[in-house]
Amino acid sequence: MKSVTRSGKRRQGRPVAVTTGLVLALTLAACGGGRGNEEAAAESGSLAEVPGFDGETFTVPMLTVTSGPVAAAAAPNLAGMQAYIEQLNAAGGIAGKYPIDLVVRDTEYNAGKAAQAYDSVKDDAVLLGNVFGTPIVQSLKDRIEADQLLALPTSFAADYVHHPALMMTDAPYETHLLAGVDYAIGQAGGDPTVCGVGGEGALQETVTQALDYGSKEAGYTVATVVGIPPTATDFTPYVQQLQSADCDVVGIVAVGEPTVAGLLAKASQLAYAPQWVGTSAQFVASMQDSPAFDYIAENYIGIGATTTYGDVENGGEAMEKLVAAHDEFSPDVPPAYQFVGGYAAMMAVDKLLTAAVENGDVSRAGLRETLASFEELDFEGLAYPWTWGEPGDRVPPSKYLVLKPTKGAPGGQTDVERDLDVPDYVVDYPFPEA
Amino acid sequence: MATVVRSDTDPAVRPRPTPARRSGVVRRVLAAAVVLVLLLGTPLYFVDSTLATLAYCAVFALGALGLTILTGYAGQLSIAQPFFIGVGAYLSAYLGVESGWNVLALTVLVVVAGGVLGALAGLVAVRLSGIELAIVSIALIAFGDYLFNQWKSVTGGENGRSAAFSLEIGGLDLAALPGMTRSQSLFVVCWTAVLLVALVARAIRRQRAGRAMMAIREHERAAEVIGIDVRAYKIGAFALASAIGALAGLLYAALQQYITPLDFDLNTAVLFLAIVVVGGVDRPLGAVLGALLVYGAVQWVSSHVDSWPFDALLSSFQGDAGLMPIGSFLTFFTGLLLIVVLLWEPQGLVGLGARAKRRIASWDVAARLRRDHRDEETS
Repeated sequence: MKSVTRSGKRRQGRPVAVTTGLVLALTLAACGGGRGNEEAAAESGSLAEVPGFDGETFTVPMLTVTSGPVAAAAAPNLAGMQAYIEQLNAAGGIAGKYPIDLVVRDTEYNAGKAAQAYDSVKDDAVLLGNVFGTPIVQSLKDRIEADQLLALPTSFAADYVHHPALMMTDAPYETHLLAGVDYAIGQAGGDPTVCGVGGEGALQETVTQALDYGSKEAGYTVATVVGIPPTATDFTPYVQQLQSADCDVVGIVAVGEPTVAGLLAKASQLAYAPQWVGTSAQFVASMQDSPAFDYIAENYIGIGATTTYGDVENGGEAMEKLVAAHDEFSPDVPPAYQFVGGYAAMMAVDKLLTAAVENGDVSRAGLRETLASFEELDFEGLAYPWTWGEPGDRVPPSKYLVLKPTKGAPGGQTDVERDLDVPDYVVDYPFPEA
Repeated sequence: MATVVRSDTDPAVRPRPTPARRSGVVRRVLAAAVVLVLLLGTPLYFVDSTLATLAYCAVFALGALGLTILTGYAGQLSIAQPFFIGVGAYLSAYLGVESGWNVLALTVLVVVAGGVLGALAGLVAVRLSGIELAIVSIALIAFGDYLFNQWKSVTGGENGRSAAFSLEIGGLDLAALPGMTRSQSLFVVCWTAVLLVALVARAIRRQRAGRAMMAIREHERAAEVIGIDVRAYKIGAFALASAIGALAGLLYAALQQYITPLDFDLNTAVLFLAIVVVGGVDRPLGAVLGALLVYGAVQWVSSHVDSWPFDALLSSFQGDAGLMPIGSFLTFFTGLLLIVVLLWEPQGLVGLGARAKRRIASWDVAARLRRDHRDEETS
């Protein structure tokens, strides 16, 4: 399992001899006509060495969470990424000849530790394969931009849709929340009252803004948006707040798996049964073991853009490869919905680096140029594609699917409806410019 | 009879330096040279990522130096240092980023603000001691947690805020010293701050104030009886420790460029506790050694998680072969280190050094006695 990971080729010191050699080599190179690496590489037909690429291997650091309460949510995503890279390296790597070296750093979901981890990897990174969690992305995005790096966030914040340093591969919260509420209203019929639940603070504001937009555009009534702190353990007051507001449809965004499980279990106890609508990351496989699972299965739907694990009918050849990668490289990891998301994200990295190799420039600027030249970010059936291009032109997937908790299904979810169109007013949502 | 009066400046009466004094001067010159070489030579030897880690070690050493004065000298058990570091960090981030304050002005402001807040905390603390004081200091951390999370217009709330403020002083950018990268520059800046504060702490220890604080630590009532103003010295120790903490906060914000309330929570307090216990609480050198060993080791293990022998012990993926994830291991490691140090050498690394020195001296004495004995037999 360790073959693709490493501690980084971080030299702890520079012996005098090496430094002297380097100075001599640089002097000779300068005397030899001052050719840059790229020129010399172009003449020899090979790629120039750049930070994160030593001429043979690409180094892709991952700033993820492997310890603490958030680790369970990050694990399947990371496992999917690792499986893709293992499979890719087994076939020779990028363009069949440049393997990828994944360097995993644990941020513990703490911005301070993430900054320190970033410092330890940024100088030897072709791009950041993963930055897990909205607070972590938020804390690092300006530095990533200043260093001209690219990063794939595991975050669904709308702020990142048009960010030049960030390469989102899943739809933002707003798209799925609004599409899900629209779907639930259509299913319920009549004029149901809509409410929202978000992590206390910034995410509660995100839900409020999105639902305000939805109520203006689609005409439904929003009664309340409840903020739940991550430390909450007793969910009675939050359920009572929703109950007293007569909420029929409740959209949930970014409150963490323990909170979702606790909230739904408490609602079950209090015999309160609205239509709960979560975004794809809200349901995790362990919720199948909840004593309230029957209630959850009946009253909860998830909205996603990623095909469910093992759905070869819709995922096609890519899903067959994914399942094979899982069985060969991550057999001990229970297959989960987020595994597919991680695998698809690395597919995007593969496509970007392959195109950059073809262009002959894998530098940070070269990668950005190559990325901007993509018209579409296609996941070959594993997820709905993004409209791509320059940062300001990027549009999240215009299709979505509806997921239902299903006991025994891989990841505990199956899709009940697919290829639904995201309503036009949701596609037109005013995502902030970076 | 004429009396000849000679002044001390007269070469005839000026005491000639004794060999011991001469060797003391030589030792000091040598130590200064070693420190200077380390300060300026290290950035040339290590890569930027290692220098960044070492700069963080400096910030933690600086914060711990405050505890050296407060807990080590004055005997006041407080774990609220992260609160004062947080105040320094948020003040610098807010005024530096939003109002473009000069870093020199920021430094003065955060040191004064930290000192005033520390003195206020000291006013409450003079009535308490031991475990009660520790509990009150936990309350201060909780207050900081609330303040940093809720005062969103200044702190950015739970999502944190940018701390990317300029470090320029009159055309000299401290983050880009001539011929140096950002990491090299910040290494020099942070360790220079540590050096200066450590020298101040060392000087205090040798002066009247330090002796008074240590008297309070040993027996408060007895110190009062011999005329030491216990209240004033306690408040002074709190003010000084908090001012140093706030300065550490400024440097922490400058290094990290983004701060969140999690940076100044109870976990950070435990880290500081581990640093001073492992290094040795009553010597400035203890704070430095503790920061290097506890924080530095933690970062070193983090960056070698996939290398032998850590790959067998630690896991970086779900389903990986390791026994535990890196974050859990580091908590375990810090706890284990605390237990081992407290059981084996409660004075920390500095105590261990002193013990080794005594041992070597005793060997020296024993060797001399044996030699004398041999000489006697021969004669």
